[in-house]
Amino acid sequence: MNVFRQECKMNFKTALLWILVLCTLGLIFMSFLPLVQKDMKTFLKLMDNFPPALKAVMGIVTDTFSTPLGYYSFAFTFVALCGAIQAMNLGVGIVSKETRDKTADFLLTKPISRTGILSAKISASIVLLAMTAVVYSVIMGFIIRSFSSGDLDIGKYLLVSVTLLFSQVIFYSIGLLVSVTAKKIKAVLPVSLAIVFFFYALSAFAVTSESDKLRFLTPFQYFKPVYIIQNGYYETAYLVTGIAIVIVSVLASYIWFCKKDVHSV
Amino acid sequence: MNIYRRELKAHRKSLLIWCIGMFFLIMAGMGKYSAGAAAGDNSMNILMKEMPQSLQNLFGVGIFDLTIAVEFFAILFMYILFMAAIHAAMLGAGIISKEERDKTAEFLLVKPVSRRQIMTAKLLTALTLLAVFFLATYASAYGILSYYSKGAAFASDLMKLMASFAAIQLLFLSVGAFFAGIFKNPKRSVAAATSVMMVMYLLAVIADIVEKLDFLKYLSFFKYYDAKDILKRGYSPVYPVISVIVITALIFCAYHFYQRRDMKI
Amino acid sequence: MQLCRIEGGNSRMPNTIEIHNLTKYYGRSRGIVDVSFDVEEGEIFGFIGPNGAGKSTTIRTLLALIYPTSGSASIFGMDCIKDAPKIAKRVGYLPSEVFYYDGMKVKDLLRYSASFYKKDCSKRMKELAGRLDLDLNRKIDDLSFGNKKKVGIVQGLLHSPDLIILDEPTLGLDPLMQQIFFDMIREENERGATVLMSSHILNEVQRICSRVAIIKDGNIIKLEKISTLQETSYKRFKIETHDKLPADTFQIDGVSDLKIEDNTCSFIYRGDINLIVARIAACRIVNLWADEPDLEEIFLHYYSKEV
Repeated sequence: MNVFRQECKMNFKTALLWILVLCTLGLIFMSFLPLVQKDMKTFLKLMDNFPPALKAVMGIVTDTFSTPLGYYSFAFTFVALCGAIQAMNLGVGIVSKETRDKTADFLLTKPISRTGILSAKISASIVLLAMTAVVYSVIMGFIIRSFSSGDLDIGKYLLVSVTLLFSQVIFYSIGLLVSVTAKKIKAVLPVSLAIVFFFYALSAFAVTSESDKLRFLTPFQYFKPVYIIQNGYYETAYLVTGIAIVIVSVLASYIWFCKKDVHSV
Repeated sequence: MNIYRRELKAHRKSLLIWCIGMFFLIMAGMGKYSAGAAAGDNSMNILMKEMPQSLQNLFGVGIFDLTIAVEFFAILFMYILFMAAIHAAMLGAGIISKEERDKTAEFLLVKPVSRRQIMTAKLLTALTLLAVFFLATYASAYGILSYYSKGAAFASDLMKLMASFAAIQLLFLSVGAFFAGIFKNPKRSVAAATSVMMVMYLLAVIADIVEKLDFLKYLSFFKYYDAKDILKRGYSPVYPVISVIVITALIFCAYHFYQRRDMKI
Repeated sequence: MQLCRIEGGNSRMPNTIEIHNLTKYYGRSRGIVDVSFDVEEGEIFGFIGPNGAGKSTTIRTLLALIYPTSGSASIFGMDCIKDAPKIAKRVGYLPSEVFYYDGMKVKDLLRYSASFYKKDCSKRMKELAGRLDLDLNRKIDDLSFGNKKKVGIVQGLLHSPDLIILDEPTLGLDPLMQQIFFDMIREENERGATVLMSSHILNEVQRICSRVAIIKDGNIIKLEKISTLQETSYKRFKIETHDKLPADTFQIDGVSDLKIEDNTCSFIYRGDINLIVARIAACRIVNLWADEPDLEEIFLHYYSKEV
């Protein structure tokens, strides 16, 4: 479809830039691994004697932290943060740009229904996010393998890396809903940064609280790499919540977008 | 001046949101303090001291006594500075480039007011907004710290930290203004300012973790005002001097290029 | 089903556009109220009114950009809202202000526009751009306002639509381009396209449209053929006489706006021409001017607040 192709074209360069950013970030963190591993053995012996609550605060799981994959889970939180910004930017920007750049009169009077337009934009976004996740995961896979002297549990690694795409899709759908419902968004970056940091702050809150309930409030906590590596599968409750958020946001976006008045500039 | 007043009014809502956000960040952060270290439980500190230096820097612990509220706050301060930097960078770039972004350049720049005066009015607005943000942060921190410190002295330490907060604000404001002065495209200037800030943050983290790369600290404004240095390790007056030079140079360039370049209409 | 049918109209021509009691409120402020009119197939229909009267609101509702509070409208017999994409296949819309995507070249935008109509428009594109003297290889961002307008015109016409909706079409075009543009519209109309044109430039409406609707404060206040408007309107007379005329020479019914200055006398007359000619003939005239009414004056009469 032409709108799909056009959207892909228009957002491609930005997507490439983000892949670069994510890979660089991952690489930098992984490069510290040998350093950390050196001092790690003594440290871990001490940690074994300490209460589990403390370890939870530090976000360390002793058995796996010194392994490349375990350490990667720690690095992954930062990659996920960047990925969330990318996805949120895309979501918040892709519909609001028709209003911001005043191209709404052009696009919305063409022989294509509003659902058609929104579907094209969403598909293009998913393709770009998937591309980001795949390319990033492949590159990082090689990097981690080189750190683990060739020995890497591909299955577990893939499970963790795919969560990048999952959380990106969740953030994207939230951003999309914002984009569709807001009257006019003058600048995308402040809005998307604000929303992402809000969820990140919630995530910090959630980690320290005892109850698991807060984890539901922030997509950053839906896919804990630590858990995934240990158990080999996702926590169902959070996976379902994530899917629910995506479905509800996307549906709401469709309904809102089809009903809203598009005013002249 | 009329421009000054108008700009202030336009930024009211966003400033309010930032101040409230900062208050919650401090509250959430110090909430962690009460959960963990406040109990007078020194085990946390012992644990931290045993950690290898690289890990200490990674988690931002070790140098501070985590049972003292203001020292715990100093660890939280990294994130507070990060928020201040984002706010200042986006403000600096945004306030100068918004005339071109909102297509009001043709209106404003043909009025009997020079580009220099416009720049001055906008920078003054930015300074006012930063000052309000500074005070809000200071007040929140003071209030929350006095609650948690239970009589222990913290005022002078807090003052030193807040001085660095102001310095970071000014530094990143000038970075933002600089890019807006150079680039015609408003989206580009905001993106450039934010990227510089992110890169500097990353450099600061790396400089902390990898001792060999310590020289990186000169490339990152965040390392000029490292809480560890300010409160404990002794502070070199070289940094404020460099800051003043950098701020002056960037602002001068901002004026110069804004005067010379074409407006994007 | 047929409100506001004009006597003398060709009742066998189907209507391209039918609007029934279309109403739109923005919150509590009125956009349009009970707007009803039809546009016959093949005609060029003018749509005029003062600023804020509701022209854009009506057009935007026809194009399903905004949704009516009540009432309905149909184009090609299909509901404007429900069948919008289907209708859009055969409609060309030229908005008053054109904005396009960052960094696009003219030809990119036109190709993208053409891709929606599943027709090969490349020949048409070049032909239209050539006539309007539009460089296809330039970036749209770099074009002047008038040239951007030309992009809008080509974009609206390149798929040979059956209905062309114009909103302030000649705003920004130089006089030569305006001529060329109207020639293009006339050619499209001869080819069978229906045209709905909204404009503030009253003499262009007068020149090209066959019927006109005047909207004011959200209501249609007049719907008339241009010819009828001209006929039932006044004539402007100016007479220069040899001797000074007595003041009551032209004080008869139908004369208004009487101005006497030395030997010159001017007035507006509405009524039986023979009566006024008889009066004039009774004087010793040096010179006589009789003017066709300017539609602009007629329209302005409707625009003004007192109506």
